[in-house]
Amino acid sequence: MKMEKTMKTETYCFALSLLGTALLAGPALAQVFPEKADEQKLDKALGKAPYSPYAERTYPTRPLFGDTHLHTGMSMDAGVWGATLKPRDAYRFARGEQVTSSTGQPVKLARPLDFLVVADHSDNMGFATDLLAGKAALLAHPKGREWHDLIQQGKGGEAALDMIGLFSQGKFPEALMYAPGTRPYRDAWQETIDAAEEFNEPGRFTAVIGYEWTSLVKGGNMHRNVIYRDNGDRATQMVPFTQSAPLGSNNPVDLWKWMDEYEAKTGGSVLAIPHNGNLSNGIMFPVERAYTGKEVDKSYVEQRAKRERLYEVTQTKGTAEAHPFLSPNDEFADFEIWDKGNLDASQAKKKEMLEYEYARSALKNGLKLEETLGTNPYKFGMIGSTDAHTGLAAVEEENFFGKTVPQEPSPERMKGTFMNNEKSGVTIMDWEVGSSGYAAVWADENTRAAIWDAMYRRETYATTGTRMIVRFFGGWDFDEADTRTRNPAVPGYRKGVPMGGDLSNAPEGKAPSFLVAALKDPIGANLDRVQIIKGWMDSKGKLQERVYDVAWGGDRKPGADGKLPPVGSTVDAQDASWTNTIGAPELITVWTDPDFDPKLRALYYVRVIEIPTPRWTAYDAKRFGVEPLPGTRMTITERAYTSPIWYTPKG
Amino acid sequence: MKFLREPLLHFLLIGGAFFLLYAAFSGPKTEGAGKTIVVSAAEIEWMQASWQKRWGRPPTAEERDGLIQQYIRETVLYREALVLGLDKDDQVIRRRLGQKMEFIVKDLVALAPPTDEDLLAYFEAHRDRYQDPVRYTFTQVFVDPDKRGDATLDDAEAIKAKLIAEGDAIDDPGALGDGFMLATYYAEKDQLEIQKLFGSGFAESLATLTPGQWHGPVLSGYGAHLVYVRHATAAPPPVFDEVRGQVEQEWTAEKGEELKEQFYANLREQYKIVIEQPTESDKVAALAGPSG
Repeated sequence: MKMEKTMKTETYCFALSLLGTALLAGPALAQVFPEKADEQKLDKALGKAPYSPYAERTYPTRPLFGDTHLHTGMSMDAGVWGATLKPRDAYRFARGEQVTSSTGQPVKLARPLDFLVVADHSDNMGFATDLLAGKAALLAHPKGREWHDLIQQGKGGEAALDMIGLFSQGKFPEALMYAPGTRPYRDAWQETIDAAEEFNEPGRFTAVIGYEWTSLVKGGNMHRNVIYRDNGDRATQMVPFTQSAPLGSNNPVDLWKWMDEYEAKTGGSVLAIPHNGNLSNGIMFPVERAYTGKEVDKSYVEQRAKRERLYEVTQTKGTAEAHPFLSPNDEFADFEIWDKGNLDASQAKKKEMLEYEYARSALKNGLKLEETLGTNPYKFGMIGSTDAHTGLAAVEEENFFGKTVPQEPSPERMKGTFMNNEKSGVTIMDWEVGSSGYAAVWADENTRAAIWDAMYRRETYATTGTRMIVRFFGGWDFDEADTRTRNPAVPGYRKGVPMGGDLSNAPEGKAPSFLVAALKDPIGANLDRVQIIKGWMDSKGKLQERVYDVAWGGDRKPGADGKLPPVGSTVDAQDASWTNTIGAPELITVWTDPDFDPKLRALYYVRVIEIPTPRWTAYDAKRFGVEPLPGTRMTITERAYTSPIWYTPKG
Repeated sequence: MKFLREPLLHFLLIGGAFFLLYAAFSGPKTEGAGKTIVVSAAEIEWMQASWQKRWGRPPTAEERDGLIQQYIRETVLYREALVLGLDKDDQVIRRRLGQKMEFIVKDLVALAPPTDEDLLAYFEAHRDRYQDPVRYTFTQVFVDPDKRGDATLDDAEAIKAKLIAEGDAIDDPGALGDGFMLATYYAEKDQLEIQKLFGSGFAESLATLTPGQWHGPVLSGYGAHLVYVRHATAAPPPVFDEVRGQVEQEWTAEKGEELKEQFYANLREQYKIVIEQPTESDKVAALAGPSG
């Protein structure tokens, strides 16, 4: 396992601080040590007993779950939609507390998340809050002082009325008015950082600093989330990059330059995660020319490969792993697809755009670009996230709080229209919004640095909101015996590379073998099947793909066409219920590529599919007693997509 | 809803809301001033910036003029709408203004920092919240219903008997059970972490087990488990100085809600509220009307 120097240091520091706590905690210690020596034998459960009773020497048995893409009222559009929750509320909710939503509803997660990135739009960040509240400039003004004193005396209401009075007379201090590059903007960024610093609890809950760069090219979505490895001391040194000229730009190449500058200036580390290629209308993953008309050249592919290590493959605005048009033989490709147009629905979709929008085709095209340009710009891992604009990372189907504030639970929410453009003919209904997804990160510990490092090495997977556990290792020597070990990570790391890793130097006569294991969400649905998706470039330079069913629940046998029969369904949509009487709680197998050619570039990733369960729309229909619109999907097969493992021929 | 993404609309909405506030607070004065429309340089700059954001380039002179004309047109219609009182019964406008009011209040209360006494009192009143959780060190042996079917619970009992019989001599208790991706031995996990691993039912059951002996089968979403809790380690009582930050967070959140409610209550007090019960015919009319 790759571990960076700094991380090790932090691990040691963490261990030291634990030790310190233990030494101070006298009574606790007394309970631990006087146990008899026979316990050492029990400790052998996973091999040799550790000397320290606090230590588990094994690899983590579950990944950290989080959301890398959550908006609060600090985002201009979220504010206009009515979001009143701010970053602190978002963290509070994510770490498991009950909060009151912007529509006044009490809400709580079934289980806390392990980490959260509040990623508010950088353009106009804090505009709404600064404009309305004037927080930063308040104390600097005599008027502000007056209000401050009023508040100290418990007369906040009086101050508020005075403020409103000044607003209405146009006498409000000018310092509050928003303009790019101004103090209020910097303060908004500082507030975002301060909230993260306040809620970051290493080892327990990580508040990651980040923002969304919201590039729109003629309505085509080019958005990226920027994720910091760093603490506030570094993040505060530069304000986020925006897309509005002259200070910002909507060209990703300029964002990468900004990232270079940030790292050079602060010594920090950032990575960018693009999302919603499905709403880019063919410009997210260019192969020949970027949308600017500029050729996809060596410089472009190198920078992109360096900066964009992950892709957000599933979220509320659709899942974009594969498209039925691109993968007609994949019966699971048609999943929560948004393929009607671009982000603002101003331009309808054309079939030829799809290849440059979906993760699978981009991963394949990356192989070809690597052949011609020497670098694969689309060597990305997978994560899912919410992109919710409510301050609430709530995407479990039975606890879905919508993408926007108007889509928070109400009897009307599954009947509304999300977007409608008469000119382009694009209409998207509110029921099409997905209750998805989360990011699973195989970090060694719950800290900013460990999470970022796992993201950088792509040891991540995406889920559509479920918290199943997925392990995926590739190597040359996995065999059936490895499926019988109780922790697949042990042979996995010893004999191979984890998800996101690379294979090369194929031993003579050997094909790569993969150890894959999946365990259902402890409070979720059973698993239908585990699939390995292989993409490769054949000897004629043509890109190919194939989906293999490698493990499944129940006594099913693949038919003559090689296809595994469907698992069936126990869903009672009317009652919004299902049972775990089909499928399997755990699937584990070793699979060896039957058609391996050591001369050809290839990639492999895993898709794990759950048995059908009620979609959020079914819960709404039942709880509100609402009749769904015709065509509304009422069931879902939740899933996970892992980062690929790449095979690159030698030389 | 496409229109909600338009920066121009954002601008107009917010601008519009300001006008509304202006109208609401300055009353009849609007009428005199109402016949002049000033398109200020700042407003034009704003329009240009919005255009730039939307189209990725500045507007041409012609487009710029178009924006200004559009703005004037909107303003004229807007003011006339105010004169006619069209803002009065509009759900969207009502809600938006209400939200703005709440927003302002929420931020204002965040400005008053608590004193040490405030925090200490809050800490004392909510001590249990700052108590670090009990940590459990345990071994679990998994019995897989998928492999054993109806025999699962009987098998589990048999395995438990074996675990108890072998006692200290046992080398690897996990080997008596079935393969499972989660570990057999977990050290110092609190209930929340156990819940994330095994689900809440299992976590709650585990907390009730007497340490030092085999229990089970304990059920989880995966199947049956035999569980041996080795220690349940209680944390020392909370110390104010160590949790001060958290206390402050919670004090601020709670106080914020409180003041917001108090502010609302003060305002509401000034109103006499009359609630009329709708008659049957009103209900019918409401149902028949456009319900969106």
